[in-house]
Amino acid sequence: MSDDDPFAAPRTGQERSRPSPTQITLGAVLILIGGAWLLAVLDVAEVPWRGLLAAVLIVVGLAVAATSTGERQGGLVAIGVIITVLLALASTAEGVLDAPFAGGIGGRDYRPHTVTDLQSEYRLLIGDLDVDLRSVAFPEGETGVEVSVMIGQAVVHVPDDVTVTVNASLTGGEVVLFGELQNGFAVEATHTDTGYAAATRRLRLDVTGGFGRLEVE
Amino acid sequence: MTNRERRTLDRGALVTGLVLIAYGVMFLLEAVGVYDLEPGQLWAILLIGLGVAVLFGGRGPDPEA
Repeated sequence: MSDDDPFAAPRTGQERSRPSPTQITLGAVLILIGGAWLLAVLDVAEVPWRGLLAAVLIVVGLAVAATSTGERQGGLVAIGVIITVLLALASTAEGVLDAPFAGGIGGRDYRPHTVTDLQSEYRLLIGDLDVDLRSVAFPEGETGVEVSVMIGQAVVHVPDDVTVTVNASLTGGEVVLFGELQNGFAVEATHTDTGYAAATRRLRLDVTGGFGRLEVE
Repeated sequence: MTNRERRTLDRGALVTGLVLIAYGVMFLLEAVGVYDLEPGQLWAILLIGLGVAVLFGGRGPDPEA
């Protein structure tokens, strides 16, 4: 029975209700992305979007190849092309901009109180990121923390009782390190406290951004 | 011979599917940090895949023809 045949006998209820491979794949993809999004919104888990989309692309590719002996699945191919373009743009943005394509969207405030609360990375894709490290009693030796925002603002507060070195890079916008402002495009700014190498407790900050504002105070 | 057996292999769909799988694997490896693709390399690879899909993507010969 062909879809194009206007004189074909009407389909039975069972035939009409059977979902096509496109519908099955699209439904599974929507459920997967929606579920991951929900987990991210509820702060249950940080979703590795690029890995997830790449896995979805593999599934779509398998579905397209598997249906190569059946009816054409233009919808599946369109989904695959859209995901490919999204992933390529994300990868290109990460290569062109100075910040990794990671983190969520919106406002994020982090206030770690102990070293165990402290994360080695704080990432945001788009929005305002505020990382307050002033309550952390840093251990002896060097502690490294990376902070990045692709588009938006990142502010990092450091305690007074730790010596600090900061490397900041921003594709476009302004960088303020302890009151010293630099702005423009391809901004590279550094700050190192006097006696950093010999200090007991050292904090090494790497702050990167695409477009926006970075501040360490 | 049944209708199922007489189905034509859609070479376009097969090649497109394989190209999408290859892209997925490439992006997955990049996402987990196995390697870092430069933007130029990435778009060149995408273009090559598109070329492969166009070149080998025609429908296969109809066995009934």
